Amino acid sequence: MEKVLRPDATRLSMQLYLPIAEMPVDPLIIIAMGAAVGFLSGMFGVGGGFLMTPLLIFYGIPPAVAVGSEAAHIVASSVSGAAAHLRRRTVDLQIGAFLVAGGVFGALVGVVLFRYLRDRGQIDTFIALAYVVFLGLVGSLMLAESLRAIIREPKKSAPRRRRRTAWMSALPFAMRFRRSQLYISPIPPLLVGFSVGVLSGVMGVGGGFILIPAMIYILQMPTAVVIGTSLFQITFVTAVATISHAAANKTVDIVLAALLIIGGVIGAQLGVRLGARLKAEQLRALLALVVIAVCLRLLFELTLQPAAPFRMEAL
Amino acid sequence: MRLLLAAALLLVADVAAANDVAIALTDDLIDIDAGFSGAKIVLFGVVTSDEPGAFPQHEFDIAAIVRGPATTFRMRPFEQRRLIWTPGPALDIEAPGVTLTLSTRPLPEIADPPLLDSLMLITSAERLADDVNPQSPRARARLAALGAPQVAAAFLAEARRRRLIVDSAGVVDFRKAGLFAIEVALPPTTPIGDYTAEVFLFRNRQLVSRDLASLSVRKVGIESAFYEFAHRRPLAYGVACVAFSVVAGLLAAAAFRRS
Repeated sequence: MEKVLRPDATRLSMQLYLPIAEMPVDPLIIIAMGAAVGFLSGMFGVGGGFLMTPLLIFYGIPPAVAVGSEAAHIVASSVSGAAAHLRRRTVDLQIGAFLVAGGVFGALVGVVLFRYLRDRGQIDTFIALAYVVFLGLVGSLMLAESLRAIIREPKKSAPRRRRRTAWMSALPFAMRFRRSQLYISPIPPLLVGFSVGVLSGVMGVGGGFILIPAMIYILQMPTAVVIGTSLFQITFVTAVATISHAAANKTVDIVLAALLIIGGVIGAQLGVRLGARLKAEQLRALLALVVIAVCLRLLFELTLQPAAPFRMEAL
Repeated sequence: MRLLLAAALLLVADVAAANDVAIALTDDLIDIDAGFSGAKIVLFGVVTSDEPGAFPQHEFDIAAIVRGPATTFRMRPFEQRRLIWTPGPALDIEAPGVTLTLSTRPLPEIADPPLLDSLMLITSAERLADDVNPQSPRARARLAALGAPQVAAAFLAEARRRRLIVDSAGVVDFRKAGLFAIEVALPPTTPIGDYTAEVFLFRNRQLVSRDLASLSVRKVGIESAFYEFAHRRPLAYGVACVAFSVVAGLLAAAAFRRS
């Protein structure tokens, strides 16, 4: 009976208290989640932010903290890729600068929007809704693409991509972008960067899944510089999103981000190694199904009547 | 430590009236560090009696209530807009961050509801209803439609579900000669701030004595350092987070490139 009761006497499993989220988590589970998403990133070259943030929310991390901390995680997971592409000179720094400028402004707008919605109690609904739309879109596109590849639908030999840039060079301030061999106005890259920046600020994603198609199909950039330039933009924009979330909302949990970084690094390395050996199309279909499942779960939560009639939050 | 505490309590109680209760806590400072997953504290007390013979323990009832720092809880009634359920306008309720009630027997067996209510040992939806504050004209209209007691009842139900309000009976461990111990479990999400522990002594369904102790829950070590940094200098903290992420990302890539 003379045992000394200490504050940690109730500790059952491994627990780590997150200083900003103000809750204990099992660090191994968070690391495993980071590794699982990192694995997919390494295998498919997707950023993974769009899966990580909903997973964190399902685990019970407050959505606001999930978004802020995931932004910090994406900085870590994109910076090394961006550095490698800079060394290989596969970044169009000129267009990149405009994408970053638009993106930084977009991220700031996104964080302000985030704060506005949070003050009105609508941020959780908004984040969930935004994810339903984007995951639904990305998931069904991926599924369609991989199914096409699996049943080996003969690809129509794509006609040589003709660059349609006349409308962009007709816009004001048209200038020459040497690395991409384009003569266009900086307004389209600014706008593309801005849209992705808003997503980054509100949803805690890098936005590569929007940015890359936009660079290829709208800006008509050569594919050789697309990946490098998008990583370049994502690193800067998520960095600004992280700082803004920390400053405006105080929702960046660096301990949570560190756990995700550890898991992500391990997972990505395994993903890269395994991805080279495995049959990609089936796996891509599987990833698409995971994405759609996450989307459906969020959709059900939004549309089914909540179990409790009120949402309670301690201020 | 425990013996000293008990001896001190007996000394305090000695100078007091016929039936009296005095309490002390094993810890009056709870530290939240990286390993924090809730805390257990023991509330020690002594009941004194100047009646001759053996201590009539079975005649006494004890109820203790531990209250966390005052917190504003924001309740938003869910509303269906087209297909989607979204939280509606804000209704705020002031209440302790946690409320733990611990007693010898279920409270209704100890005393009558009016007495329990006047001692604030039970929180009724009716009493709490006066403290529901609508935060906008739309919230006021919503509150009028719902009825304040219903909002208060929903708050109490949700707080119980999250174990912010917990009632436990049969948890007072009587030792010899009127000494007793109550183990109090603070939840992992217990808020930081100042807490009070109040103990009531009942005999024949009447209050005979009460005593109060206080404790603080605070963040220490690295938890405190991060929290303070993030809240006092948020911009610098954000920049530090980015610097950490950049270094971690580059280091990890470098480490794997070599291997």
